[in-house]
Amino acid sequence: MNYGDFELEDFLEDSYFQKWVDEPTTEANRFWQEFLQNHPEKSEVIATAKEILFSMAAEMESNFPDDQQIGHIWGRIQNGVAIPEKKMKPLWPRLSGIAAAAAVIILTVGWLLRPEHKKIDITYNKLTTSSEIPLVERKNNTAKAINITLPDSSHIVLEPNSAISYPGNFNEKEQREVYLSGQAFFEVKRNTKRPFFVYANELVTKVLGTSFTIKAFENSQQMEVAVKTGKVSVFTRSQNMELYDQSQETILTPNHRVLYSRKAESMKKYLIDAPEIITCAAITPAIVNFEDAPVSDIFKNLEESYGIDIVYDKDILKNCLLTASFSQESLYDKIELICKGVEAEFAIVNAQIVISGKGCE
Amino acid sequence: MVSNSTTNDDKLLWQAFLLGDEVAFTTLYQRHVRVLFSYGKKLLSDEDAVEDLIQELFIDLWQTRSRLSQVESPRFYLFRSLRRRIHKSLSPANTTTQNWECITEETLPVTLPQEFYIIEEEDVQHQKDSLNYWLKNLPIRQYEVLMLRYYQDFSYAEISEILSINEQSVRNLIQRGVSKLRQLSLHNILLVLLFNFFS
Repeated sequence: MNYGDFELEDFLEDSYFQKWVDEPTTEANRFWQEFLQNHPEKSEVIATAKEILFSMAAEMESNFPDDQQIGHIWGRIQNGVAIPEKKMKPLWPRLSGIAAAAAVIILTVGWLLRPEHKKIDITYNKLTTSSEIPLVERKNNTAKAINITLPDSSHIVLEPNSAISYPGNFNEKEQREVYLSGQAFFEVKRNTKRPFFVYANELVTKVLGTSFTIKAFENSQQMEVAVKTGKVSVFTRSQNMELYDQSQETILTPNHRVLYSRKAESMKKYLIDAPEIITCAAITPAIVNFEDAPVSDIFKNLEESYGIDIVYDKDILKNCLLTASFSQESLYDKIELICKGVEAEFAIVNAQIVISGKGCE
Repeated sequence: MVSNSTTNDDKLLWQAFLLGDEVAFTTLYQRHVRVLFSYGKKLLSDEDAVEDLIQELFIDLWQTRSRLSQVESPRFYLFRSLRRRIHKSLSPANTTTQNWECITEETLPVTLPQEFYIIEEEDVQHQKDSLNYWLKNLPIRQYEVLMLRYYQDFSYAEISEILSINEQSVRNLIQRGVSKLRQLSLHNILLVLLFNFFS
């Protein structure tokens, strides 16, 4: 099989390609990134194939029935086949009475014991014990990262000294919710009907389907979320743990990370240390060779292929032309090369790359 | 997209269901109801009718289970059954409206929406969404085969059975669908280029 000869139909049919679009793994990302570097002429057809598969899934999923409808149809089927109801229905109705009583008790106790000072660290233990559905816990006490697959086939790499809790079945709630202590990398299975939430101490990370890393150790003063693909939104939990404060929401896109300081209770956005080309930047493939190109074109292509902002004075740099060819350099090396070529300098300020120079004659 | 292990689990569930296992039956329903419903809704656009058909399908399954045999792919079996029921519900005996099956794809309008031509500055997202828009407005038959082939991973042979048409027609439909989508994506890229040129 030679992907170099593939046309649109062939990509659409190819199960390895389909799987990559559906659940991009690090390994597959690397494979396709390398393929695109060797076959830049295929980037357009790959982007199209990807978009078709994505749109198709989105279109199907947009017509999925909600849980209420699914239950409703099931109720009618039950009546039709006369399967005794008590056998089919889970125990919830009976349990919910108990749950309500338990909630009242916990709330009251919580109220009475509430300390006077406002600052409370919200920790993993508090979060997991307050979950209303039973959770499965995995702890990593080894020295190596371990792989975990969730019931929705999302994938997690759990780092040492970390723990994660999740329900044995995601169908019981409208949201997929997991709890993290420590550090983990997530590859979340796309499901627009059931958003995926990671609760890590005070941080709440909401995703639709993407891959990212969270670092939130209980004893550390700083927490971090970094995005590899897709888009996530990060916000903090308010003190009462129930409601979260979405006004402080930070949207994260690939190659960006957010640091949360527990002391200052504030979030700040940065670039990650080694930004990578985003493979799913559909329309603009990374260009490798530039010949006498306006430097603004090169910046534009870098901006798009890495999904980051480059800030510079267009007027000053408008006469700067550059011939450059990139191979495996890191983003910062590329920027440095360009800067050398046009006698400019760069700095990273507020998650942006800022270029300053005198311009070219 | 469907993995092999899912198909294997399905086969075991089907086996258990044939023996009267209610939990297996429930699980089969839970697993497939979403795609079946979504598929039905695309073809019928009347949610209540789709609910009715799915309900009847599963009730019949349970009641005739002693006469059913082991199948290679329960998912395929369910799609084919639902598709036949939809076809039946649309046949002249059941409806006074024009038979949907007779509408050729040429008679269905496939025009670009007006807003497609308006290029606004913040509208890059819209351009990205337009493929999705087109997918929705692809002739239904083309959409259907593309979905069955690329989203549900059915083989040409399976699709030909689900739709009760021959395999060559399935191939033709897919080919036409893909080339329409390709045209669209070219159009899209041109738009983006144009947009960049003027900005």
